[in-house]
Amino acid sequence: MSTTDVTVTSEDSQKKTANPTENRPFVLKKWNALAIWAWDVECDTCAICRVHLMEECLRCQSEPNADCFVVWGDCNHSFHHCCMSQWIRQNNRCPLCQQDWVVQRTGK
Amino acid sequence: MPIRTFLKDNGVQFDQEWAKAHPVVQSLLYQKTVTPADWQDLFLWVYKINSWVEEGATQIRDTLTTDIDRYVKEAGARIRSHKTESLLKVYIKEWKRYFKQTNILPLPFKVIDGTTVAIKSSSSAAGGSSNPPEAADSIKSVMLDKWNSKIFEEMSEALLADALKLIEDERNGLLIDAQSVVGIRESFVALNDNPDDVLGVYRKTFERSFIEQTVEYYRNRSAEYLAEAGVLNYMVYADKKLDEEQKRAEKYLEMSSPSASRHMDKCVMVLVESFEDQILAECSTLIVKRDVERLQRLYRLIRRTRNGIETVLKCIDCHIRTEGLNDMRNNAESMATDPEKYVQQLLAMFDRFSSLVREGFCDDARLLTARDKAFRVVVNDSSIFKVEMSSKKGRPLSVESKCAELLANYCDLLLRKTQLSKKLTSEEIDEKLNQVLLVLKYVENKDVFMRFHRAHLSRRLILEMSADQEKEEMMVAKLRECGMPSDAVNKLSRMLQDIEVNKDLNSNFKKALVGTNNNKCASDAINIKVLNGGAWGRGGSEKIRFSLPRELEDFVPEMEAFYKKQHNGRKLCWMHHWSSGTMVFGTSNGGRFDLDVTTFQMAVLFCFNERAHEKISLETLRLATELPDAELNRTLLSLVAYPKMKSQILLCDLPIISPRDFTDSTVFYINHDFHLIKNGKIQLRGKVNLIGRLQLSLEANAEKEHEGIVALREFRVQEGIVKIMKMRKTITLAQLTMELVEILKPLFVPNRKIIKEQIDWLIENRYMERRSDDIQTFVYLA
Repeated sequence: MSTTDVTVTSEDSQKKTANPTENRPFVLKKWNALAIWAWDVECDTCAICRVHLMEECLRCQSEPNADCFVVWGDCNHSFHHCCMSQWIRQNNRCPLCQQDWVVQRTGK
Repeated sequence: MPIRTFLKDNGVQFDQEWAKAHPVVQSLLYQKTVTPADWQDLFLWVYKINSWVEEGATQIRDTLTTDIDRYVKEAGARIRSHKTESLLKVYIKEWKRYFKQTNILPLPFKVIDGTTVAIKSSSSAAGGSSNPPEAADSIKSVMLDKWNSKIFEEMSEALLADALKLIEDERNGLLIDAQSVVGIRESFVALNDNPDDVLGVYRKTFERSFIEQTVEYYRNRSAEYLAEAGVLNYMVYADKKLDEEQKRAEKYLEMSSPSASRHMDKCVMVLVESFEDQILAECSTLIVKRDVERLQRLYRLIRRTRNGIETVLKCIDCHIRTEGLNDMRNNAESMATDPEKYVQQLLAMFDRFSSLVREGFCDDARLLTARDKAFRVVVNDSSIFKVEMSSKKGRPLSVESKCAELLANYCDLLLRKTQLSKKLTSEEIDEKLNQVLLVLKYVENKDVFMRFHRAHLSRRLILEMSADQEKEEMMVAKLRECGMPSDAVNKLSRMLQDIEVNKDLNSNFKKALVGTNNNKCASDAINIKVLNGGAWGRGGSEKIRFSLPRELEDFVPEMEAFYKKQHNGRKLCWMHHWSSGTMVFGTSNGGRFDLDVTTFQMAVLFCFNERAHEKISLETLRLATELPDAELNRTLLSLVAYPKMKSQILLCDLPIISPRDFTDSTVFYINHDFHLIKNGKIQLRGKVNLIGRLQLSLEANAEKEHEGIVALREFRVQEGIVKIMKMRKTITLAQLTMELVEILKPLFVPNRKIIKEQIDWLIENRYMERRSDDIQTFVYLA
């Protein structure tokens, strides 16, 4: 392993000039890339509480240690889990498309 | 009554039995020795007579009363005949003896106290009388009554006068026999002619005269003393006298009397309240001079008055406000730019005021409240350090103190790797953070603090500049403790958690890079952070469009592929305005520098590769990077005119550099003479951080930042009003305003303007309406 590692490094450094040259005075040494992730969904707000899915639902925002996650139905619509569990007590259908509510997956 | 008849002939004769008892009674009365056997027999004899002789109790009572009567007469004669000693002294001597007996002699006769009542009541019941059964006086009260009618009534006035004379002597500094006064008081107390109000006589005579005399005594003296010695000395005098009178009252007055406190009230009136204005006039001067000793005295005097403390509160309030604001005004210039100095100054002031209240006023709760109120005014003062809050449409909404922002900046200085935080020990940092929280309690616009604190925290975490992860966590816990809104605090703690999660992600990513492509070089160079959009905000402002330089762009698909494998169902949004990196910069003069730069700076600098000696116009740079104008100007400015740096990375053709003068044709080129200066020597190696404050805020600039705050406030006000209306259904404007302020206080204090605007909005959108007959009352519309 160690021998291959060494060869790779030397190859790389030959291929990519790690040192600045007269013509290329700027060379990358380190890049700290940064991205934000969000659920890949059609509608990014919870239709029940109107809060963005990436944030805690209204109820959980005022709780100090709430565990608020997102739940998807078979219809591919997504809501806060806490909002949905309140909702299905009265009506076991998706509030957006009226299909029977079946949990497809949850995301934390 | 067969039993009674039988009892009649049982052989017990009153005369016979009493003859045995009488000498013992006499001995007791005249304070002669009585053997224990006789003492016990006396109980028996009395019992026998009471039980076996008809009307025995009455007979005992009659003879006993005669005996007492005789004794009292003799004592009275003795008191009157004594001329060598003062009346008071003789009286007290006699009274002491007699009083002692009133506690002993009645004991054997306790049984007849009861039976007398019983017989009387039964006879009155038999007679069918409607009079309520009347209890015969006990032997003790017979004794006291006799003393009263035969001796005391006649000479009470003379005695009282004597006693008061003694007290006056004592006030004048003479030594007196305190027991005499106490004895007289006891006589007065013992003279209870009304069983419902035991102290009635005493209060009407002794207590009243005592108080009157006290007032009389001080009335003229105090005024004279004040005129003669001045108010400062008078305070010493009054303080001393009050103290003395307090002790005197405890000694000479019956403290169980409901009106006993009138004495001190009157003393305060005559000694303090009559000169209250003069004393209080000294208050401000003493506070300014911090004459703690005199203030303490003043406080002791004024504390007892009814309204004096109000003036003291006003003085303190005024003092803290003026001194606090003057302090700030004098140091305004240096404080505005130096959050450390600002916070230190505030804390020093707070300490000073607190110790004034503690030392001068014994931490009186009313004064502590006044201190808090005044300090709040100082902290929230917007005349020196102000920030104008305006809404999106540019309307000014309120002018607020900059305190919240400066506090957040100071926190950042303590928590970030800075000169300051390196200098301090861990304990010192903790202490300073606690001080920040102390001041924060007084800040009204806490939402501004939280927003800035959050911006600073994200910057520290993203750029990995936190001095100590534990401290960050502690700070979040403390903010929670001191009642910051939990949704805001939750976000902070989620940010901290998220960063931890990311460390794993980043190391997995590096392993994957090595494993799949054998790309060791890239694995060394690239770090990724993928943050939870909910915790960090969606980048704050709208995403900045921008094209990555080729050198970086290559890595993006690789990172996205990797992330997709790890987390299905998530989409990534690149936040290049938050990312950064390090570049190596080699000048043609042989210089070699590591530059810490933002990704935007990187993009601009990479444009110069392959064109190291060319001049590039701003227009070309814009085409290459696709950065928006404002962002491009900011970035270029940081490269051509980075503060505190003698030589700059890039040069431009403008004589005086100002971003307003940048035009499309302004040209930029590499400074091949770039160097650093350390200890006066030119360095061709080194590390430069050019990130500075570029990535400070979530928003592009301060105005946007304030707009964000105002927008959030508008929502909070709407939310609050609807919440109250839902509960109350109908409410007046005044009541609504009060409740709203109460709800929103942990975040900010809404002013009239914002409340009015949001009420209008809610009315327009039919959440509520004004009542037709009263436009100041609102009705909730469901």
